[in-house]
Amino acid sequence: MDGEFQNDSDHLMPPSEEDVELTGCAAKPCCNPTHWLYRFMALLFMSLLGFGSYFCYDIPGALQDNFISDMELTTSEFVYLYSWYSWPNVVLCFFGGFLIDRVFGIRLGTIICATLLVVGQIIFALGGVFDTFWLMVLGRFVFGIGGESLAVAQNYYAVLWFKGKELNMVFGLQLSFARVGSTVNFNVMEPLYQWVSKYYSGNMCIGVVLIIASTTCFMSLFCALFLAYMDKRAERILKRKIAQEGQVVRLTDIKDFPAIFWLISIICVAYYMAVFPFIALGKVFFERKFDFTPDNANTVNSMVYIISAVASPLLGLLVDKVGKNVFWVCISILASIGCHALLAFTFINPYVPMCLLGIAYSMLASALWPMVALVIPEYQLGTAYGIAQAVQNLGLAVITLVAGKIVDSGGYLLLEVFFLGWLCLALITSVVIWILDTNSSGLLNMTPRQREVFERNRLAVEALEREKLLASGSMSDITPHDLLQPHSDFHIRNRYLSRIGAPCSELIIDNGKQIRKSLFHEVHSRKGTQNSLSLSEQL
Amino acid sequence: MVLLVVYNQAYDDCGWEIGEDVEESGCEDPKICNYCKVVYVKAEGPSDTLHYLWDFTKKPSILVAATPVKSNLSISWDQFKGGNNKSITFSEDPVYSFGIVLDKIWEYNDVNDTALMDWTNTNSSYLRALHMENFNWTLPPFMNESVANVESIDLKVVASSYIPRDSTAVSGSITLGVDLVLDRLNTNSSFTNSRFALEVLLASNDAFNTTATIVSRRSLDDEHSPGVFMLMDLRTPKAESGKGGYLQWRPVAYVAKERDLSNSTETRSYGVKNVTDHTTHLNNTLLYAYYSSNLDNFLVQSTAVSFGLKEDGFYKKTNYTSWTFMMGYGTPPDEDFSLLVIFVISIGLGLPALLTVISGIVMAVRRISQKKDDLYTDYEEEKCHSLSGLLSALHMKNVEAQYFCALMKKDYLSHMWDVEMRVEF
Repeated sequence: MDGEFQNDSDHLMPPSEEDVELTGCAAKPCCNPTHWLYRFMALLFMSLLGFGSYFCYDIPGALQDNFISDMELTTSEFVYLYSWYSWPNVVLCFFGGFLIDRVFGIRLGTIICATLLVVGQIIFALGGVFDTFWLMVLGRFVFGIGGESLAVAQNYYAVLWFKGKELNMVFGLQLSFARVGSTVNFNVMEPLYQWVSKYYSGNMCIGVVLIIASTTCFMSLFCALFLAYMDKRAERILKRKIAQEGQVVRLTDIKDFPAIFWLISIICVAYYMAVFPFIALGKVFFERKFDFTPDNANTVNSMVYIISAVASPLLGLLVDKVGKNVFWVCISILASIGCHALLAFTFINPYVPMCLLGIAYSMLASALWPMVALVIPEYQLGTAYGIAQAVQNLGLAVITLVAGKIVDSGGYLLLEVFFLGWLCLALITSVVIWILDTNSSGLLNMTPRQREVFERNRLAVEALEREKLLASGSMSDITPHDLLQPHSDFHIRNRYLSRIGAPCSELIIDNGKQIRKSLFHEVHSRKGTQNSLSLSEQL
Repeated sequence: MVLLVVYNQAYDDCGWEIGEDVEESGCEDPKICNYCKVVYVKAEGPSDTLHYLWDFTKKPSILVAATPVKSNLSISWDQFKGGNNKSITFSEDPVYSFGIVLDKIWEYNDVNDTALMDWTNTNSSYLRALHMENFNWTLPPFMNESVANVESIDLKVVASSYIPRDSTAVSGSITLGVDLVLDRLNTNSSFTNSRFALEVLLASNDAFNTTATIVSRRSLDDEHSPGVFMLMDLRTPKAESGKGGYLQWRPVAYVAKERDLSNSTETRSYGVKNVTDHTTHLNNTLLYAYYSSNLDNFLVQSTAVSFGLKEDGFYKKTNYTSWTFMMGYGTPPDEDFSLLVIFVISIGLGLPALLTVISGIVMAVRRISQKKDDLYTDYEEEKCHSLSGLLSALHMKNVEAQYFCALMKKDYLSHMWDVEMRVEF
């Protein structure tokens, strides 16, 4: 965000050294952090980062029959392999996000998550090798801690590198990689198992297959390491580090998160309710209501995923170009309501609503998740994404159980009505977001150009005030002129400090960072969103 | 045990009465009354009267007759017991009448696990008939009678009324529901893979050369039969005009008392076929008592429904199967969505629409009043000067809020995003 500011508004800021610095390798596009090629290399690693996690997540699903027979499991034991992944994450990925923000930082945090992923998958495999089921469950648990927090880290990285540029597309692309991950898994695991079963049998076979599958986790780890290197390098060259320091997220910040963020979280729950649990139950629904063969039912059921793998980057690009995220969110929720209504109240060929649902789902994912980055300052992003993910996990875990009960006793029509109810809640929430946003800055529903102007003007005001502040020396005397003029929060903080007798101006000259910290603490830890990069550069 | 639950669904305004025991219909001799297991339900509609007569003396049978209003049924009990002709008469001739007999339960040995009964294969190693008259039906208001057969039979008669969903309904929408429960039925010891089927005989006063038809149609509502989106209608020829009889069922049976999706299994129907030898099949039934020798000129057909699904482990796995069908006069009812569904949908779509409209109006009003005032209003000034007010009112970052106010003061609000401006202080 800060780096980008430098690029976008050179005319407002004095040119910094970095432009001169870039010689040698850094001058080439592939090594120059400001060049798009460098960013797209990072994007590749970012997308592959989640691949291992999504690939390995669905291995039990792809090999359900083999797991049950080779390990001699009951169906309810088999379900543990998923529930021990998802239930702990109702809480854990929130802490994961917070730890990334507060303790480890994004780079180390990502590496740790990827390591957990590898360790978890290996434990899982060893459980197969030694025929100990509890070890497998433990493996899934560790794998889950890594996997969900890795998703948070992935979002964080995307914002860090792409905010204000192709962020929506990047979110779309990550989504599509996730889908590709599970699709590849479903297609690869069965043949892989068949091949391995020529050499091993029973639980050994499962173990060996899992060890082979763990290579994808190693790939994720490699991506995390390389991404850390690239990020470190970009940070050094772009001097982004200074921006990240100074503001530290605390747990108490959560209560100050804007209402819009919580509303976004509600949509995360309410919308995804109507997609994932539906797909989980969809196969039998298509067989029964539309007389589809099991194969055909599987195909139409996976339509949403197939389409989203293709459509999400493209739709993300569209949102990047057009902006107006809230509008797109509303449209996709409306479209999803239409799809579910078609499925519930007509006998129209389900390929039509399912394809439409795939598009709507991709559009929503591309437009919704980047909105978090627009309402939450960067240093709290890990925590924010962690919360959103945790709330979503909780919702999904509960609703999947409820949905099964509804189908069993009330039938699919009631299930569809249930989903429609959730979608309507999502629609109401998105309308409320729209209203709140229109009544405030309108940032969420701006076009990219408007956002750029908004951001630039915001920074311009700040820069000018700072100049004025430095020129006027002490802030203790407030002229009538001051009162008539608009004030930035920086200005007002200084005024506040001067009232309580703190010698602001000297401190500012002594140590920019320190004043920022003390200001931050003394002005009762209000959400500071100040752009500190420009400040420190000025000093 | 075979359990038959028969119940009437009627609309309150029709005014119907149940003759709980047959004495109401003039049965005076207790011996006969105890012998006959007959229940009579009469429904008075605005244009016609519907008579439902259930008899479980031998084969369970049900007769439905639509007569002009204010007509009565009379049964000559001595003759009825003797199985003679014309023991049942109406004071006015029915406009239409039809009846069914639950003739027999087939047990077949499904060696190849097809869940498909071969009706024509009469080989005793494949097919066994459990004749309904051999079951000992017990009608709750009557005395228990000794059980002669290996299978004991319970009959529960439940008559219930419920509130009309559609007040314009005519008496034609009265339906009769029959639940058939095969609970721990002894299977033939020589059959390894027993499955069951029910054969139903049907007679109506349509011409003998016409035929009843079985139509399957799709339905959207599976609320009362989770996961089943099909409706089967068996219609007598006159049903097309809305003046005939019908049987309606969902092609689903349940293998446990809880009627949920996981306990459901399929049913199969085998079309209708003509019954040539009326007398043997219908002798000693309600239908013979009413139609008697006229049966030769009337439609008499039979149909069968079998229960079970491939690879479900056969009847012995659960030792339980239950199935429901409806019977009525008029046109087979179309489904309607339950109140819950309508409620959720209307609230769910109504609320966002309402919200959008209201907020649109509020915003439009606000915009108009803003335009009227060249300067910013007091309200906005107040907002600009109170930081905390700003934060809570605008949900903005401090800097943005300040900038927003700056723009408002300079009256750039209307085109603030199109002008790239530098603020001077």
